[in-house]
Amino acid sequence: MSKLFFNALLTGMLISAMSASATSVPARITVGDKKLSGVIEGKKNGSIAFRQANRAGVISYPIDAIKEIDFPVKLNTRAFGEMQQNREYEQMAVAIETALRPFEDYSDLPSNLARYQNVLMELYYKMGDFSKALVFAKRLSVDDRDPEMRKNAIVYLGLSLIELDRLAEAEALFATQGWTGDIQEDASAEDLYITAKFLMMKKDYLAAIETAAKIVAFHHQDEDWNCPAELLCAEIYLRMAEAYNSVDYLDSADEVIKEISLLYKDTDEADKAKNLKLSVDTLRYEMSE
Amino acid sequence: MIFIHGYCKRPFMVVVAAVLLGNGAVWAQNYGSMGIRDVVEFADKQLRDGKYEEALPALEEVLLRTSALTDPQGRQTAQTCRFELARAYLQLGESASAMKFLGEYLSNEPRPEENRAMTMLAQVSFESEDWEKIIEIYESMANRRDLEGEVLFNLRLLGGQAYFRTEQYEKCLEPLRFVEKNTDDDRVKGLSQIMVTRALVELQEWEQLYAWVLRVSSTDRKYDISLNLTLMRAARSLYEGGEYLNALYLYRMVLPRETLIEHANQRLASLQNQTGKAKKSDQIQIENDIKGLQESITTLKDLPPYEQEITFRIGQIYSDLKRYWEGFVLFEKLYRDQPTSEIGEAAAMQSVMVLYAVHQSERADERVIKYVEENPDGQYARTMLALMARENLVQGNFSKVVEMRTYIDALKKPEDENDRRVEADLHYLLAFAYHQDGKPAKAVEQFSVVIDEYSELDQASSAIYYRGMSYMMQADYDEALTNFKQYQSEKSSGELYSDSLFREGVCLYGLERVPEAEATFSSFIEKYPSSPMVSEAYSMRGDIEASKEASADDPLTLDRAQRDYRKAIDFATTTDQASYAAFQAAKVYKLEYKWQEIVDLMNYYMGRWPDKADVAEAVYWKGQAQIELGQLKAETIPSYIDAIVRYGNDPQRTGVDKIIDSLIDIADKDLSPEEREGLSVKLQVKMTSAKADSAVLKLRLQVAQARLQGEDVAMALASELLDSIDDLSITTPGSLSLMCGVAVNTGNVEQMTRLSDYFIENFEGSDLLWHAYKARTLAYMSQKKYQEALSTIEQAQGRFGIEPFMGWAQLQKADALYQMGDYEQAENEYNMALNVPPWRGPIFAEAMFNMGKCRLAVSDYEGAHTFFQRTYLLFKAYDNGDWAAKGYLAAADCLNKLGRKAEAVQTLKAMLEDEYTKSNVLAEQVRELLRNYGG
Repeated sequence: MSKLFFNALLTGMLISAMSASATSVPARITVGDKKLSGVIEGKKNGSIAFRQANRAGVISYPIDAIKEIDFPVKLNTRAFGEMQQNREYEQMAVAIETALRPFEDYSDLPSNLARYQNVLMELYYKMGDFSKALVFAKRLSVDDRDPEMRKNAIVYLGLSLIELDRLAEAEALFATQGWTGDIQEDASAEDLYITAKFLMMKKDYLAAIETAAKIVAFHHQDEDWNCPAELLCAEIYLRMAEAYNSVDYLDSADEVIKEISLLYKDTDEADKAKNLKLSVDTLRYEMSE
Repeated sequence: MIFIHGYCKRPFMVVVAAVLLGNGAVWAQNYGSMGIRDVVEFADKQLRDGKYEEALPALEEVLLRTSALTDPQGRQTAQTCRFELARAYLQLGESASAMKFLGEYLSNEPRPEENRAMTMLAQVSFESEDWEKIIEIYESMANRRDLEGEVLFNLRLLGGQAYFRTEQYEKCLEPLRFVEKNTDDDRVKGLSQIMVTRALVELQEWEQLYAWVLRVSSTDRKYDISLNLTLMRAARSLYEGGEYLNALYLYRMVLPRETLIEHANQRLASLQNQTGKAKKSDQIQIENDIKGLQESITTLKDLPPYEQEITFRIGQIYSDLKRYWEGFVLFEKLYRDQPTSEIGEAAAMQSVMVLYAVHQSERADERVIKYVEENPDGQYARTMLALMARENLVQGNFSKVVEMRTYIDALKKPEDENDRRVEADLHYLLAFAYHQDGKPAKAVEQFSVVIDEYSELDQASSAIYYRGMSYMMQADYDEALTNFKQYQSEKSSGELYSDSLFREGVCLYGLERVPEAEATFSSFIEKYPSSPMVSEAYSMRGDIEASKEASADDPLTLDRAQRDYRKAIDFATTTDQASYAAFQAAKVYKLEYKWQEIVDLMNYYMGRWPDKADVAEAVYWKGQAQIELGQLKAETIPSYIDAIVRYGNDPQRTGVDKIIDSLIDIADKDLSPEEREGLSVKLQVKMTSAKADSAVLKLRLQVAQARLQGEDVAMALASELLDSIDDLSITTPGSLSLMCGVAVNTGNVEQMTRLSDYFIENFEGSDLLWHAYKARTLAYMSQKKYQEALSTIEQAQGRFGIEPFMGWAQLQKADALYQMGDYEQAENEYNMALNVPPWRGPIFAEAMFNMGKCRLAVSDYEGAHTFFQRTYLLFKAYDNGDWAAKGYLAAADCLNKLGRKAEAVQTLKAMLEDEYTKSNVLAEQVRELLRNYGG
């Protein structure tokens, strides 16, 4: 959903020829103001064992003292870019998982792996594997090195909980984020989106559609959220048509779907809109019976 | 808009090297003494240094020396000179000279630079805005395969622009898209994008346009003022042409003015920062860019505010497309941001319309009231109130409309015709609300406002008709008739004409001008056989026929009534119309003992309205007829039980209560104890097997069972229900009448009021409604509200007349008058009770006794004595001799007051000897009196 992170991933990744074993991996660590290159030999009792390049001996650094670790993740960026263009999410996830595998013993450390995990979180969400998305979202939502990425993780944490029908947890999370009540149009598109999702989950369709409509009306230039918001509007209109037995709301859903198909060709949302259209037609048939 | 990429500067020296003949120093302006090689070297240097003006004389000198040569190398050198001369003149902006040398070049051989020369020719034509020439060149070269690089690019750039300028939009797309894709020059890219956008708009290639603009919008180009202005103009023209959807998509791409200006200013600052630092060759370009940007900013600033207008239009389009909520939030914001501006007020109006469209009436009402309170003189105050009134009327929220009167009255006088129309509408709607809310007098007042103050408007004539309806509702048939007649005389072709004729008949009937009423209904039936009211007209005429006394001259009144009722069923457009006629017809058949006809009629009625017929009531009537036909147990009881179970959970099916009544009656009269027990068991089984949510049915069955077990059990149940049922929605006339009875018997005024209010409001048509009237009357009597009691009695008597069970009403009427001190009228009313044979019994006794009381109240002891005496003489047996005992005592008291003590003693003694009174509870009191009298 967030192009920002895909792009950051493609432009910011390190490509290195260094190899790694299960316990011993090359890395560049930042301790205080110092940046040190070398090999992490292992992890024990809240510390890592680090052998600096061209130096003898292994030094133990407490994890708390480490600001950042850069692992040399190997990923074919061109192939990855092509997969992204072709919306081959499964292959993308496999590529990242494969690239991260050498470092999995250290995946909980504050490192550049977070950027990849962020992409994996979004990919799993897109593919409908909400449990996996949730695992990454939980991990990233407590990583405060990058506030923007953390906020994104919290959003996906909420979305995944909704999809997994873990409503109580979702509600508790949403309460902490202020995503449960009246929200003004000048709130960010993502805040509006997740609030609308929450309200839909609570079957408060009127509040949900009003919130989602604010994204379409006031944030239609937002490339990341406008299209998902349009789709959400169509979904809510469909639910409203069902709840209120309203043909008018079916027409509303139809209209939004038409727009998505026209303006957002070859996107995930356009595919989902096509499926939604089937539901709209089915309900229309049932209502005419 | 002239722009073109500069041609690459290939060294002139290389080109002419083949014809250089000698060496020597080069001295400017002294070409005659110079060898050609020196002149060429000099020209080449000047060209490489960009000193085109200085290069010209040298090039012309070389051309002069070589133009006459015929050998290939000489001709090539001359051609090269011509080409370079053209290029130099072009760089110097001397198009005519450039054109001359290009012409010479293209008409000589060899032409290795023909493609470039042609492109330069096109460029010269561009400067002179000779679009046709450019197109000619472009099209002549379009299929050449040797075009590449700069030539290909510039040719497309020029050709694309030429097509665009000559409005050949379809043809301009391909070359301009090529340019946009292949240029690194941001300015060229931007202008190409704008031209493509405009061309797609002109071609109405919306799908391509959206894809194109989305691509463009993903870059900073979206901040381009020209692009935004192009989109805005295109959107406006689409909107004005009624192409809302396409307009919407374009409008959504337009950025707010502030955003555009902010971005343009940033760009301006960046360009201004570059001015001093840029190379001299780039300087002109930067200055041109600055100038262009400043002009764009000025254009943008000079535009009237467009953001609100665009937001409003987007909102309108969303609403039109049924994307209600997207529209709503936009309107809301507009109003919130600018509540007093014209567009803000219009947005408020639109948001209210959206809310009503999505049935969010309560929220819409709140918005209307908020707006009216904030803008009492707002231009939409009147319209919004009218909208709110209309919506609430449709939903039946009449009292809410009535409550709007405060706001309606506070509106300033309408100033123009439109305001007058809306104002008239408001009074009209308010009148309807009053009418429907049961306040016909207020309705008359409001209809009169429309009639008197807005007589020129359409609503006025309809108001006359409806004012008639309001008068009719007050039983003021005279005034109602006047209005209906007035409507007919003023609107002979009005859409309410036929209705008013029917109402005229109803009024005449109400005024007891029965023959005229009958004639009017006949006239209506004849003139409007397809009217939805014709069924009612038949029923009304049927009622008139049924009420006529048959005579030797006219023995067939009931037959005619039956025919009318049948027609009423046939022509009914609603169930109510058909039901009324069917059950009225049944009553008439009953008078004639035509039981099989009742069975047939009910079958016909149910067949005619299979889904909507009042089956319970019909089953009741069939059952009644079957009983008379002797089909008692075989058919009636199972069909009754089936109807109770099938329809018993709907409280409005009052026929079920009648069936239960009838069932109890059958049990009392015709069933053996075993059969009665069997019936009770069946009801118990039905009650047990009823669904959990069938509370109404269960209560009906419970009441039926209790009644089967006798009156005491039924009253005990009613007493229990009185305490246990908070929510009366599960009750029906059967249970309510029992509960009313208990409330009356125990003097529970609170329950009498609660039950009667609910009963009357929910079961107006019930035959058991008199229980509610009785409870309400007695509650008023307990509260000493005698006038209200009299009013309730009038309603009860108007509905039930002198039915056997209505004696209480006459007595209470007389009691109320007695309590109000009108003894003479009270005596008259008591006396009237004595004239109704069905009331013979305790009612007679009580009436007679109370007539004595009336005389007593005016100290007419003799008269009083007479009535008391008649009481104990004529009605000894009633109420276990209670009335007779009271009569004896009261009569003795009168004699005593008249000083006839001996007669008084005799009277008291007579009571103690009377079989009906000697054991009465008052006997002890009599004995005490006798002791006092010394008897």
